Amino acid sequence: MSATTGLPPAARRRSPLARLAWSDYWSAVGLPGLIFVILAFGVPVLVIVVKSLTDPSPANYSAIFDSGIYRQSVGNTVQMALVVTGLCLLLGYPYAYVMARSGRILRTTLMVALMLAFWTSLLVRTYSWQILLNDTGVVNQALMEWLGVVDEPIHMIRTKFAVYVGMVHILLPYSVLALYAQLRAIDPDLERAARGMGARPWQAFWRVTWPLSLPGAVAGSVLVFVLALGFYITPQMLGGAQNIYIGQAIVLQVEEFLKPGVGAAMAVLLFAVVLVVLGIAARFVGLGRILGIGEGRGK
Amino acid sequence: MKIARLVWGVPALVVTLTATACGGGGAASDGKGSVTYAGYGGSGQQAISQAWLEPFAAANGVKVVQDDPVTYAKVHQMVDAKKVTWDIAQGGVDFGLDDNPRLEDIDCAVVACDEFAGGPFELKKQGVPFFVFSIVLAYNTEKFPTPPTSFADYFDTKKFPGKRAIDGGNGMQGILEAALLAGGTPRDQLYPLDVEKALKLIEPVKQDFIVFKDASECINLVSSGEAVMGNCYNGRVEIAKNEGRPIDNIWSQQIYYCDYLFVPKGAPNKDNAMKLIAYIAANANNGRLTDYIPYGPANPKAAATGKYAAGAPTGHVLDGADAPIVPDPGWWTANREQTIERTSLWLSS
Repeated sequence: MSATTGLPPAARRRSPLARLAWSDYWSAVGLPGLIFVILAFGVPVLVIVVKSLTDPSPANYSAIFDSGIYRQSVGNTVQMALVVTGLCLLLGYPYAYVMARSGRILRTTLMVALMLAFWTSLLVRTYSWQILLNDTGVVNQALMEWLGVVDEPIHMIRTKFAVYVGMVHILLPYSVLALYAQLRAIDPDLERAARGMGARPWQAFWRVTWPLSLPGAVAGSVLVFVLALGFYITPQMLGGAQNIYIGQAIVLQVEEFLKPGVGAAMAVLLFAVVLVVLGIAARFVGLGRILGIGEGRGK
Repeated sequence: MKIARLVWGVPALVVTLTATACGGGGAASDGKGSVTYAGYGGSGQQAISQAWLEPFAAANGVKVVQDDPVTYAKVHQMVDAKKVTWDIAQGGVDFGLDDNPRLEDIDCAVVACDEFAGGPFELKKQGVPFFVFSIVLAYNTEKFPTPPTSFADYFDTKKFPGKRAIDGGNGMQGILEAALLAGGTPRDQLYPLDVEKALKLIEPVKQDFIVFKDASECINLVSSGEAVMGNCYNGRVEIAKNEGRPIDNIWSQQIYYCDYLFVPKGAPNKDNAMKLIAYIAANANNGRLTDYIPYGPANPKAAATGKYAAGAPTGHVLDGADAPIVPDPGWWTANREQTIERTSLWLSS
């Protein structure tokens, strides 16, 4: 994306000063949005950081690790985020591959199916899983009465399994879209050329397409991982009280123990971890690709 | 807080809307000012509104504004920020109602404080008890034609096979006491609570627990048969029973609770708040909640005569081993956080 594309031909011939004026003009259009982001996001983040240090003191950060629930929630959360990321990649890659390589009708169908799921409210989808996965829910009824595979209902709700299902359902589109953007950018002729030179189909995929698609896979996975770390509603509703994640640990501090400072410190720590993960990933594939605003590095 | 929040449940929007409508139109402001009441929303707050808030507004010409849900965290924050919008908040004794720097003292010149002497729940310096509810042993009537008789049966999966719905929040308050009683600890030696001993006693049935987080789950779990017993709120069992669902409860060892009214420090309409509290607590009015929901009066001089009076916990106080379990507020306030930590970790291990 070059800076000159938005300029009328006349501007390109003008002095650098005039060019600056033009880009300032466009910046002005973005200003209300910027102000909104600062007020609605930047300021609250700052307030939380200040609160974590002053309510009552920076000792909040050491208090975090006194909480056994918190220590356990970190382990649970990282494990959950990794599993969900892995599943999204596993399910999302073939989906994105078919979408990138298929004809218009199939591609549109797959895209619409994906986006319908994507646009449906997170709450609706989570509640639906709750109903589906109950001991007396549709899935168990199907297994018991129609298929007769099992006699007793399989216990799914309030387990890690239910959390994984709900989370993958909600986060899969992010992973598919990142992979799709990457796979579309790979020229199909490259695979054809590999085939033409004697590679079997799987060799052509494994040695040409797969390496070229890696940046998309990483970008999508980082996005899914980071979103999964901070998820609250879905694990809360589908997981049991036995599975505590970071979101619940923070709520416990604020609502039950009346220690908003410690809760704020936990939130700041989570935020910092997310930034570190993004920073590391950005070194390899470029931040723009993860956030879906550009090609980034590593193409 | 958790307890009370669960009693009231979530669907609060209707109440808020009703409240706004009432406040905007009705018997409101003829110059006597207003008072803002914050409760837990849902059917509970609706009952409170019908039993007390609306009649008080009509009789005194004071506009009563309602808000929900009340949380202790919000009371803390509005007092600390000196932007108090609630004149009365509802909650449990575990908020600390004796020397809480964020609360006003109750004005006993307005409220009939002396009427509470000898009642099931004592009046606090900063809080007035106003209704009694309980957590009861609920069971599925189709699974057990012969009902369980005490919490000992809840912990006995040989005699009463099947899953147990259990509230995992609030440090398993009440359940720990019930476990110790079932294990033979004398009633007068329950406190200080031996949490480790209690957990060890229920360890054998741990794999049969279905841990729920929301009170409505308890009713659904037990009446669907997914669990065969649960510790559910008495009001919700009554409602489900009346709907014809296969659920009932015993009153032996009901875990006895009371909600309190208190006034956040710096409340803008403190005088009206005391008047409204006095109205709700008055012996002539305090039993009226049973017209709308099976929760009993906290004022021992008040009579419960409403159509739900038979289902109110106050009418089923048994003796001896079956007597209600009353969690000790002193011990729980001091040990709440570490007990929540301990029981949460125990449940997840």
